[in-house]
Amino acid sequence: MILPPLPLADAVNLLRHWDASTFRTPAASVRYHHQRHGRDVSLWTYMARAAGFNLRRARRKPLPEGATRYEKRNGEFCIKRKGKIVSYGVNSWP
Amino acid sequence: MTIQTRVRVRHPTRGRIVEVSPEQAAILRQVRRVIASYKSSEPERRRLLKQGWKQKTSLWDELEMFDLEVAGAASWCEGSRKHPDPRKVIRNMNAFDVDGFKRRLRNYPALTPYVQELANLRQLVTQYLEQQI
Repeated sequence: MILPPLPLADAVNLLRHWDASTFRTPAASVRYHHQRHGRDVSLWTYMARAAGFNLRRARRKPLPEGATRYEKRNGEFCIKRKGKIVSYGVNSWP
Repeated sequence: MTIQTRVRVRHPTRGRIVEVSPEQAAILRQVRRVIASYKSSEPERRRLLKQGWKQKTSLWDELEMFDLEVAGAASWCEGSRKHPDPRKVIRNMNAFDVDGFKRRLRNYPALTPYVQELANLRQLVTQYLEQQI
């Protein structure tokens, strides 16, 4: 996966939104979730979209271990724990 | 002097070739299979997600937690940094009942292989982490 160069400060800033959760590092968590949910977008775009997820108008659902799932009508979802992103993606409804 | 065999394998999330031990290579290949089976089960996954939305704790939420637990533990099997508490990780991963998941997923046949791949990954990760105890 060849990524366009991103200033280090921007990369760190995007990564700061993520929680390592059960993963070794937040970066490992991001890479895994990007592979699962990222579809055709680059890792940076995926992280930028996750960071820009607007919680307003999103339905909330509490999950085990203090996590909350936020989901919008268009299927875009974000799982957060203590204000940090655990997972992000888009599920288009059938 | 011991000579440790190294295997070249494509990393499932980094997208490049890495040189690791045979045990780590098996885990990385299994992570790739988990991601592939997750992607291929998309229509049924969406159906299950929609069905479980109004329930307090849905089957999909439990599967998501199982996936996070196992994939997160697998990320500790690469590199030199060891998990601070491998016993706890093994206990948390094994708290999920795979046979129970399969029974409850009778109406979602495409999701059964996904659960099985996760169970296989759990087994590999457990074996790897047990060596660190």
